[in-house]
Amino acid sequence: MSETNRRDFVKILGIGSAAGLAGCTRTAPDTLTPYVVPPEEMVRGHALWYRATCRECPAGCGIEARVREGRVHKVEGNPEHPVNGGGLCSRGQAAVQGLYNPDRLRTPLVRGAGGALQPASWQEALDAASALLAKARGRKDAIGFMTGASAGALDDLAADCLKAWNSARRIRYEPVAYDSVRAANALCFDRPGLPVLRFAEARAIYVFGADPLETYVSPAGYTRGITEARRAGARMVFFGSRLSLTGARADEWVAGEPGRLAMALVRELTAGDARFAAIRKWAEPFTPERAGLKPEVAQKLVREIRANAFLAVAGGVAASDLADAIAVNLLNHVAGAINKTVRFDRASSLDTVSSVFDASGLDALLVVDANPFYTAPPKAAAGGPKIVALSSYPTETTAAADIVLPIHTPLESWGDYEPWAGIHSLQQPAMLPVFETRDAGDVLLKLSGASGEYRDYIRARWKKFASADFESFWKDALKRGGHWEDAPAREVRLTGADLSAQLKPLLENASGYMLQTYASLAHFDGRGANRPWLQEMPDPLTQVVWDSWAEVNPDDARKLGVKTGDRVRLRTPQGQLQLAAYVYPGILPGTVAVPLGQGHTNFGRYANGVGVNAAALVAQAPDPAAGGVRWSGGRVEIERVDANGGLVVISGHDLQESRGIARSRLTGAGAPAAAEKREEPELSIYPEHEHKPYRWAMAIDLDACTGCGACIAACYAENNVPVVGKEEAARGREMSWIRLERFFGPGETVSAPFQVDLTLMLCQQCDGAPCEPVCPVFAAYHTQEGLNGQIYNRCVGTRYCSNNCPYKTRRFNWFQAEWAAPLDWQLNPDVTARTRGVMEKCTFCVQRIVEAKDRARREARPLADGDIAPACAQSCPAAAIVFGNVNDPASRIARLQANDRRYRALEELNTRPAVSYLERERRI
Amino acid sequence: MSRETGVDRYTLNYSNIDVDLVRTMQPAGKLYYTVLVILAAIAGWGGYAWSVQLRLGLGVAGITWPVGWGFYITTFVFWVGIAHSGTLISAVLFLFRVRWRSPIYRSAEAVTVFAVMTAGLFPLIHMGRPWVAYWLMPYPQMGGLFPNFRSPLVWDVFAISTYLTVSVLFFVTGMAPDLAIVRDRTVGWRNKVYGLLAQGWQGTDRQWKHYTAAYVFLAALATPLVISVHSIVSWDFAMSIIPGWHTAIFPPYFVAGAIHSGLAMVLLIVIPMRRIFNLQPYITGEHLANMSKMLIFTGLILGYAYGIEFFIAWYSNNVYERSLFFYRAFGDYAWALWLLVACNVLGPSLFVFRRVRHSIPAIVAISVFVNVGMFFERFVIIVTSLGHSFDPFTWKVYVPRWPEVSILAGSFAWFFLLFLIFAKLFPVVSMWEVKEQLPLPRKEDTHA
Repeated sequence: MSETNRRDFVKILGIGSAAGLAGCTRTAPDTLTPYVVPPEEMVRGHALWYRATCRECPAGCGIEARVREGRVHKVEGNPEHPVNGGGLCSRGQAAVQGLYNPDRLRTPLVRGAGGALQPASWQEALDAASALLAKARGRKDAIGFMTGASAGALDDLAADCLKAWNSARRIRYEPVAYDSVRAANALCFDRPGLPVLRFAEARAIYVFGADPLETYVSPAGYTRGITEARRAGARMVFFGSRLSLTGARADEWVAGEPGRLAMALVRELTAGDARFAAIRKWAEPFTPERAGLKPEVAQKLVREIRANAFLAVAGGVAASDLADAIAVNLLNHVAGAINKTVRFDRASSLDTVSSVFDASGLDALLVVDANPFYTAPPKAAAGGPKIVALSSYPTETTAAADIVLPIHTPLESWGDYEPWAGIHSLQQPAMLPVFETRDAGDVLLKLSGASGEYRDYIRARWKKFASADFESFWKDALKRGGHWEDAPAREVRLTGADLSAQLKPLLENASGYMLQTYASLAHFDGRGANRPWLQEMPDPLTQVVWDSWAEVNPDDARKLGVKTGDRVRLRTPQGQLQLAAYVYPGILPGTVAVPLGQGHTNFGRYANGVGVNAAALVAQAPDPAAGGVRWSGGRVEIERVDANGGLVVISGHDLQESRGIARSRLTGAGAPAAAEKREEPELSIYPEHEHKPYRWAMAIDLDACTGCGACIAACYAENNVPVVGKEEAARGREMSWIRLERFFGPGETVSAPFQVDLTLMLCQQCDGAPCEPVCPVFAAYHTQEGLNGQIYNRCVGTRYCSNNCPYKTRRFNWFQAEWAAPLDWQLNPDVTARTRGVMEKCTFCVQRIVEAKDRARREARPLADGDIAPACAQSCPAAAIVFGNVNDPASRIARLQANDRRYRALEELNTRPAVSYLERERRI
Repeated sequence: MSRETGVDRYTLNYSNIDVDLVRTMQPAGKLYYTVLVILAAIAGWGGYAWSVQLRLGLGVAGITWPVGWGFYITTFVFWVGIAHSGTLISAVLFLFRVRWRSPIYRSAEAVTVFAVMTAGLFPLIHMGRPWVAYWLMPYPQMGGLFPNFRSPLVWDVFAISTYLTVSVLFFVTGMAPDLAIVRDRTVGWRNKVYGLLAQGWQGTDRQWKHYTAAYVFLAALATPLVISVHSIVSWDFAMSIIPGWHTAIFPPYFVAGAIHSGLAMVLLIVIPMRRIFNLQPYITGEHLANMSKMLIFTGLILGYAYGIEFFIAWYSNNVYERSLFFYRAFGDYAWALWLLVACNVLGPSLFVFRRVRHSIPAIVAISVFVNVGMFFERFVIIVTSLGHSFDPFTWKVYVPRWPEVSILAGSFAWFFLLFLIFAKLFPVVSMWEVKEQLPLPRKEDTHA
């Protein structure tokens, strides 16, 4: 055992200590350390990191799982991964709550004689599945194989399976499949796939209804790119009828129909340009007036497009019409963005998926880790195929299945995934399975009649990537998280086909209310709904928790007699729903928006019955133009039902009331000069604190912060922050140590141009902290390094500190926090779990500070800048949070504190916070 | 009026006093026990609510983030305020030789002691971990941990415990001569208990000499406490930085408010008591009218304080203060603000009319208003300031839940229960001080 590498270690976990381990990890342990004889690599109190791939959405970000004493505690972004480069969104962070979800399937289920699903042994279930498949195999194409977006070994294995089963019915189902964008690319460029968007190289980023900062294709990676572009001076403009979070982060919101607006810009750009004569002809009817674009705004945008590296991105679900996507393609074309910032070098794993599926004529349908029956309910259950579902959780699909096989979650399984061609991202088990589940690959190998293990299957498939010695290549790939190949540049050209017919729908005016559904930031297409963190984190724009809502414009609301929190009924030809209304000035009159992802019926205790399923309002059939589900654009009727919407909105007030908490400034030509900064002397009658040798501080760049909430999820994970549920959240008892504050503006009223200001609020670690002197027992105290310490076991719970905190960032344990087993396995052993009756708050992740200091001491070196990243800073896909020691004048934090955009919240109170903010820029 | 004047004609003399005042301690009737049981039941319900809260956590109450203090601290300050009348009447008015204090001060002191005992429960009820409440006391221990003397809450501990100690001392000392009378009229174990409480009082000249000296001394000791206790309680708020709390006017404002509510509570206790015990010759309409006059005075101070608070908020041009006071006047709790102004300022000012301050129903009604008003005064100060502070994102409306309401009701029941027990076990009017004000008895008077 002189050389133990990760692979060996996992082998040891799996085989070597099987007896001892199995007993300890599958049931609640009686001892703190679940090993009697630990594997050699494992040192108590010392974390191990395993690189893998996030499978919470099709983006395929690289992750690192932090393992302590054989258990995964936290997932962070893999800094070497080409997709996300270190950041990770909130859904990725919540993967651990999928792993430890108390509602996970624990045994296989087989539909019994009575018609109910009954627990069965693995042998019985596999036999039943094999028998089913053997019977169906007799007829050609009678077996369907459904997954979500998949590219890699699982895709190959699916092909092998189907070959063995005498079928070619491969289904890749993703409810959010960007069909319109892919269809438009096929028409325009003869390339039926998603483009590679190089945001970082663009200086004018125009977003047409899409949400690249939220869920669109690869949000963590796009966030990184957009941040990079912004730091280089890029301006972002959002075109659409609903101000999404992405729109809220844009410098300008041009309200209207995205396709029409794009065509109006095309029209203005091509005026008198002989190169684009055909396009100009198609664009002729789209006058700026018709699109609702003021001529001077149109001229300004045209000038900007001409002067800068341009990138336009077309709709996700919020603008899912083919015409919109074609219009944006034409805009990119005439602006010269194609082959520059919009490229087709790599194919996406989403290129082969569809948002509709056809199960007709199947005798058996194998569903691997997908939940089609949440979005598209089974039509005729009796006449449909027999369903074998491989799933980690109970889902709407497993409820309809005949055989349910519980599989590992991604953090327990082997696998690989290729989000973009050439980016081979590996998955390895970071810990032993929590339950008696199996690796989906192993199950499929068995069902297809092949022998061997899935890990070997992947290895065999990976042999072709290795140039020399495979073992060292494999070891290296595991260590790095995958294997990345460069993609050769591939140029595309406009096909020249006549697109005027496809653009025609943009000229039509419809009456009544338009329904817009959108993938929710927290739950995406619904797959994150059983993670309590994601339910409890407020939606950034509406600040709603544990619910769905219908966004209505204030003018419409007046007409309908609806207030925020009232229950409304939405009716479409497909169905009707009752849900709470949210009156939102960021949506145009005549539009009603509903997030997707809630309203589950069989997805565990945290998801069932929470909100409504907006998919029921949308035809789950291919739109004739785009070929996929048309999530937005249909007509909807809306009426008020009563006042009992039961909405829980966390935000206490929508306006800043001149408090300057979330600040922004106008920059660029024509912007008013920034107000002269007045440096007030910092006065105190008490002697100043001496902070030696460190004074920890944080800077939050509000220009980079997108409001995605990754930091909040990271904080929940790192600091054992409990989840309280909807009822207690309604009472203001959510426990999150860091919150995203959302204010509407500008100024003291909500008026045009409507704007959204966001800021992060966490303990400001004040130098003149109001919380400290009022604590009667010194539970709140000032540390040598400038932190506001909070000693939980000294706290008696007077709550005076919280009262006196101007930022109200302290959280009180009103009840004893509980984690439904095995969610408690996720708890970070480095952080105390708090008892009821005590106050808690952000500690700047003091455990990480201590660990970094220890490490530096062991390595006999001084602590370097950047050695410490609190969980929030580490997770931020936009790298908006910088942490460091201000006593070191060379540190990044010290430099940021000298930035002229720097301000501190409620500075005039002389609390002298250690957290600084950098004003957001609104570029005009 | 005729009844009042008729009663006034009843001649007080030494023996009448002894007879009348010891009679109050005769075995009680059915009504007494009925009321006692009802009060005990309500107090017990409050205790049950507290036990639920102890078992499940403070979350069962309505207090929440950001309103960390709600009904419990409101009730705490309310009872501390009630406790102020006693010392004011017994000590301050004693030093100023105000004669009308004599028949009321015993009840007032009892109100003080019981109100402090009630108030003292509330910090415990409101704490997250009441089982470690002793950590607020400076006691020697190995860890070397002491309380934080910069925290107003620690000052509170000292202020309240000092006040309780001195009040009890004053109360017990002032009763010694009377208890000796009771001792001499009881037999058996009662005789022994009263004997113990009378501390061997014989009524000798030498004892009287020491006694009066000690009494003056205790009064001088207690007088500053009238000012200090509620000043310190007000510092719980004034020492913070929260808008609406952080203001220099709080100590005098709170002391005036405390005396205001304390006097009203004494009136509320004394009026039924003198009726039930037939003590009208002792506690006359003139006494009640005098206390009513004091309510005009304290009510005017409060009116001034309320006005100044709003004026300063406007005059300071401070965005937080202005916003908060606008919220108090027109926001979610505006009804409470206008209610308290009406109850505390407008109500008592009616006492300027002689007819009002000599009308028992009017005094009772206005005293009830004052107590309601003073409760809401503290409620508005605490809840609006916390629910509407610096960061608008954190603004929130606080609504109490059943444990808070139950414990509030329980605290009233508990207070009246204590008083009811006291009224049967101890002389409610000071015999020796009333006698002191009578002409010395002469031989021919004894058979009158």
